[in-house]
Amino acid sequence: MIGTTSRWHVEVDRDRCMATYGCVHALPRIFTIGDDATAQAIGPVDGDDQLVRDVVAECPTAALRLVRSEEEQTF
Amino acid sequence: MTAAATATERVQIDFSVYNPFDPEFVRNPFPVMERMLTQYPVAFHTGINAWLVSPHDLSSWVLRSPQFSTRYQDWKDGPPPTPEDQWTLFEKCMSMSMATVGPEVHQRLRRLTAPAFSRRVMDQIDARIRDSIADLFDEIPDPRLFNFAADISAKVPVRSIARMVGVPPDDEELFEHRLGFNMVRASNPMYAAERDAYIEGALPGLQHLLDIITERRSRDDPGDDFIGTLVATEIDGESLSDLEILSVIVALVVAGADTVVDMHSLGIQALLQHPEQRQLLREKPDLMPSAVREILRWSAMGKLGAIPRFPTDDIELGGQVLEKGSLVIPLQSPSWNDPEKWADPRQFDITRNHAGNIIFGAGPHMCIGLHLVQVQGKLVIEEFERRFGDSASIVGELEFDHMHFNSRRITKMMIATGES
Repeated sequence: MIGTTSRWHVEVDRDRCMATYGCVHALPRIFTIGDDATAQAIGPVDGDDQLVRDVVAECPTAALRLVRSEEEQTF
Repeated sequence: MTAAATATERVQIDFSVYNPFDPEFVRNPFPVMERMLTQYPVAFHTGINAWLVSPHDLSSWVLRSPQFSTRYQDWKDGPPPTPEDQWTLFEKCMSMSMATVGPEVHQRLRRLTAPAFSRRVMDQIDARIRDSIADLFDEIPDPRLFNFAADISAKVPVRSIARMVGVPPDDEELFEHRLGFNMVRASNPMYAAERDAYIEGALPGLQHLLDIITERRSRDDPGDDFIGTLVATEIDGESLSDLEILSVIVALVVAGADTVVDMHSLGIQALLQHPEQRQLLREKPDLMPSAVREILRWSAMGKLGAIPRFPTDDIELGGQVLEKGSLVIPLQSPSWNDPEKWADPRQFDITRNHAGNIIFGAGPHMCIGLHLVQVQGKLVIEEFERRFGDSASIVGELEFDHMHFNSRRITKMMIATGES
């Protein structure tokens, strides 16, 4: 079957992130707080997953943004 | 009265509408909460001298809005500050408290404390808390019939914080009773009249903790536990002072020693009253985080709110004008049971979708102890199930301390078990 899949990543606004652990708490398999004390995505991000969308939207300091980085063909 | 005139008139209520200290309210707050949501969504309480905000969407907006300050200096009716040359260790700590500093200082403190809340440190802490909860169940005088509220719920939160901080077992008495009890009250406006006595009571514990921190810093290796990580953390050339670390620990005590107590009683009550939900949780332990959130939401133990907000300008909300510098309290329990947000809110459903919840607050001041709360909730339920299982039942009626300042505090919940 030929189709396209989207690749997603999460952008973190370092000036806004306050390491509240909101995202880490909700989705520990995807988010962590890095050595610079800001959020990082460590796992694959599925931008079509409603939970991922909710967590990004609910970031307490509005520091997260879900970005569709590229589209590629799959077979 | 026309709609336009209503919109410009200040909606005022007093203790005849919302009295969180009324025994009937404490036993069953839901009729009053419904009235607040439907008739007084945003209202000025003349007795409490505060705006009370009840609906979920409005509370959520207040918590997230940068137009509200949490600094006590921005409260127009706040008590005059103590002159700096008269500060004790208590005032020094409170002056750098995460809850009430300005946004830039808050960001600095949240970031520099972040590594101490990392998975690595939390895993160490979880193991220690598990042991201390097992100890508390071992200490129940007679497990065949015991007061769960006094023997377990009242003890778990402050002991968990002590284990998190790494207070040596010999110091726990000082930490739990002298520091915990007094700090919670000294920092709460409801106890303003006896404030000096509570500060006095807290000082030995504060000094002792400061000594522990100073001793850690003097070591070649401060260690990789909670205090050690706070001492060692350096980000962009910045690090925390000993006093800042003390204020972080104090913030945990103030925010967590008292507020989480009733979660434990109400969690067990919820599961015993809803056997089908209890069975579901046994079959699907992955539902535990959702179950803990639902226990907090459903139990509606909070009487008021968490960190008060002060508008930095006159702000229009729900047809009312919240004056600059007034005290604004988003009411937790009505927001968590608002039918506009939560379908059938009085239904206890551990599979509920909690997206958008404000159970741990929202915005930059979102609860820093949310992991600690979840872990405590999970461990107490697991230990209860392991020891007593189906043999446990609640005996008699719950008893409350209706005068408790922020919670519908349960003082008695008798549990009978088949334990011999």
